[in-house]
Amino acid sequence: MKPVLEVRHLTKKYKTHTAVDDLSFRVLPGEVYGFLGENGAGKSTTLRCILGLIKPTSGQIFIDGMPFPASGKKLLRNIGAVVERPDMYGYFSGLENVALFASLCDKNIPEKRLEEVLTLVGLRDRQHDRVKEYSLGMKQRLGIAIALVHEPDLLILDEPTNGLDPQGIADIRALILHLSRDLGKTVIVSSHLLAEIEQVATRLLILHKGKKVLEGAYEDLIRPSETRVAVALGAPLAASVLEAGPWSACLDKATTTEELVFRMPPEQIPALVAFLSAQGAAIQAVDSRHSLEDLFLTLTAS
Amino acid sequence: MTLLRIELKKIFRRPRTYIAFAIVAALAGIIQLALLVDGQSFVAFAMQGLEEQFAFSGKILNGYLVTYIILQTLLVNVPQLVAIVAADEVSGEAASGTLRLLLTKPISRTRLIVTKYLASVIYTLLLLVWLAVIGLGLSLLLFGTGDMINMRSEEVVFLLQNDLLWRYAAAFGFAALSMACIAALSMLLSIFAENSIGPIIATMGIVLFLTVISTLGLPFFETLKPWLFTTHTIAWKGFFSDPVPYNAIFQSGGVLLVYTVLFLAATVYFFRRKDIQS
Repeated sequence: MKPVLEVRHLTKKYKTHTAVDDLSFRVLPGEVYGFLGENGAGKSTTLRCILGLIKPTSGQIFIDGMPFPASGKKLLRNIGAVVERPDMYGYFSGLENVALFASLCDKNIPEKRLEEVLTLVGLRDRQHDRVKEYSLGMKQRLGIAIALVHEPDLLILDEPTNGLDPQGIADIRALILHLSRDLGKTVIVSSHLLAEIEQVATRLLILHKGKKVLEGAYEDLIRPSETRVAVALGAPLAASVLEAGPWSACLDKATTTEELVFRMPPEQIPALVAFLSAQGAAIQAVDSRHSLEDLFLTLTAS
Repeated sequence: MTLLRIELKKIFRRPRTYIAFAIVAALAGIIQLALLVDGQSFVAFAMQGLEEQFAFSGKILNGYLVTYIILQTLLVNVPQLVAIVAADEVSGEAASGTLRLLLTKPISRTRLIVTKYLASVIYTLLLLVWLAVIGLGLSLLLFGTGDMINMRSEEVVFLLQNDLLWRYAAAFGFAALSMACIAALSMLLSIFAENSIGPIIATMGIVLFLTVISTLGLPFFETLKPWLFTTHTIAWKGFFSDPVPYNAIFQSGGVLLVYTVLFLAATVYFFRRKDIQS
């Protein structure tokens, strides 16, 4: 399948640091591509390079197989984007903002499309209010309406849930799934929170200090057999119990006297707990997180 | 055209746009009021000595003279008012965050920046039309028409009333060029800032600084003067001389045009290379 977007060896250097370091990836049609990394990992810089806002130091970008920006800004006709904070013209109404940006899309957009897209993001009732009076969540949704109004094939959403309340986050997530599953859009969505990405992304890329750490289909990345299971103990357990026991092979080197750490399939947790209890362990808490979450937390903690 | 319509809509929907219109109206109004109340003693003072040599008939303090007084006071400062809008064109959008959204649309940066400049120039022209309405229109209404006596430092110019309207039209046209030049400077400064106050102050500062150099009579500055655009922005006064020094006016116009093109070219150059971080 021909990629909608391809990034080859993208590097962006500033005087004092390298924001993006030799990054390559491809996004295929219909995917929800998750872009994950802590703040400052280089997500926004990469997305801004793709959109022509920032000039890469080196590397190439291909949109629909054509080099960008060498082939001209017209390649952006098929892209809709929300880049970081949703900022619009506060002294215009929601509808006026959508109309304004729609008229810059180099496409014939009928009047009824404007209302259609405002209905889709749930702003139909407030379309005549000035954006100044919108809440952050409403602005975020208006940003998505603007990104969608010209019916692009590829949507780039940079931290679309930043600063939203739980309901707002759930709304955006539902919208992304709707766009992907029902309307067949390709979506690139970035976040610094794995929890937000893993519920929508079909494939994801983890970026750390400008470099690609991991990329792949979500199912392939989580590796359930390596789920991290941590058992907090009230009192230390004799080392012999663990070393000789059936779980020794799963024991992780992060184990301490207060906390036992295992790498194992989560469905075996009850058996583990039963075994430890039988050995007289004073279990205080059991916590599990899958391998991807564990990796991401380790990265961001560093 | 769509883009220009949008840019104009953005300018004229902002309250700050009208600050300049209000300032022009207030300053012109205050001069008119002062002359209306106590114009005769001003004329008597200015005409000292002249009345002994010449016999005057008709109204000396007429609308044309009042307009000239207003223009002389305002046309030094009005160009700077353009900065309120022009200097905000890029930096204001960078500050509000709309610049990045705008640039993710399929429009070339050159087209966008040139359109923004055109929109600023249209704003400038409207400001001048406003000045003409308030300055010339209202003055003629309040003070009536008449021949104009233009007292310059080295000479006195008598201009007949049917010989005046075209001079004003030409002066306003020249002022438009001066302001277009300063608008281009404002736009250039606007590229580098992410708030609108910085480039507005910078524009006013540069214009003020250069105006001082242009008007100071120190020999050191004499060689510099012909090269400063501020020396030429006041060349509109030439239209009120008799005969009109067309050569000097065209030369000044040429210098302003060159500056405008240079500022604009630099604006396009830097804007095309700018990384949008806001």
